[in-house]
Amino acid sequence: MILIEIINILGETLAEKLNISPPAARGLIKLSIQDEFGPFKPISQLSYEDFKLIITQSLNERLVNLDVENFKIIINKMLEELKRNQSVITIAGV
Amino acid sequence: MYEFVIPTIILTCLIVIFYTGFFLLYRMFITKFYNLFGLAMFFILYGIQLLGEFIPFGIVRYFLPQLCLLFLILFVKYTFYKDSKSKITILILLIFIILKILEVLFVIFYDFQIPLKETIAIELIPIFYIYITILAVQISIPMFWLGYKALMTYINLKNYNIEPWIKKRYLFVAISALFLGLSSYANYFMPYKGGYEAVNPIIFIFVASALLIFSFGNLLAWVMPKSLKRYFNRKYEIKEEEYFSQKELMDIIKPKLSGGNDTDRNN
Repeated sequence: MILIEIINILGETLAEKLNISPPAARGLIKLSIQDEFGPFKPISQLSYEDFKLIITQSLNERLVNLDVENFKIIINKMLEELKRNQSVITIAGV
Repeated sequence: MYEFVIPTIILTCLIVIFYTGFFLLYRMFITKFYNLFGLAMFFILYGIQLLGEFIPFGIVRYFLPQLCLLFLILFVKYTFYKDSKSKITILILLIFIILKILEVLFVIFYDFQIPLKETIAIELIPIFYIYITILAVQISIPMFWLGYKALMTYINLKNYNIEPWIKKRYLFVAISALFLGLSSYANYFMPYKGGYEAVNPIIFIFVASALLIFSFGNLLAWVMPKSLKRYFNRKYEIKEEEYFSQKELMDIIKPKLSGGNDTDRNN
């Protein structure tokens, strides 16, 4: 699977919040992407809106299933980080 | 000297700007990042505007100049400000539209051109400076806005482990936008008559440099050659991304969330 930069950025935030390694955090995000869009949507064509959906839906659900207590705070922090670095999706993707 | 130098610089920049614009349009269709339409149109319309130096466009001359900036504002909005509660986009758009209307009115009523070819009546000089101010503010606000946003993102991304060429792209965009924005204020130092031939050499060098930096800066930023990407990435180690199955991932995360350790895979 291709690693795109916004996943790297979101992965670092998630890793810090869950106190896990960045590769594990990125893995969790990639699983959430597959939950939301299946294996057929190219990861390099995910938009800002797609990432927002992934965070609020499937990642949120995965954190709940993992019994993460402060999952709402983590989701909000992830959304904030996505909003702050949204331009990376376009700038790195051209 | 200017007779040869000016068309050469404009033609070079025009080709570079058109190439960048059409490349972005092509990339927009490939990547489906439709916010790139604003940036592609900005470059294409800016190229057409430069083409106007060679071909008179008649009535289009009143509306075409700086129209490209409207597309630039849209690009910045849909690339940096999605979901933002900030009113800055509306404010910049409003300022731009008001200044564009004023600019068109000034051109219709006074037929100003920069630099002036024929001298103007002394009583028109204050009005001419108002026109220059309108142009400078109209150009510099969107360019400074893009430059500022690109620079702030570049500074923010310094803390993240992402490929350096991407960070450099932000820097190139920021520098070229700030230069073009700044060059719009050089119009204050343009002569009252004589066209380009009468422009002070220092001002000419500054404006020409800004145009060249803007054109080639954006070309390098958006159509960055692989060799340049490799050069920027020379100290960056691209690691093969580990692939975890769902089970492996849960085996790593669950013990960690219940207080275990996950330091063996720490990158």
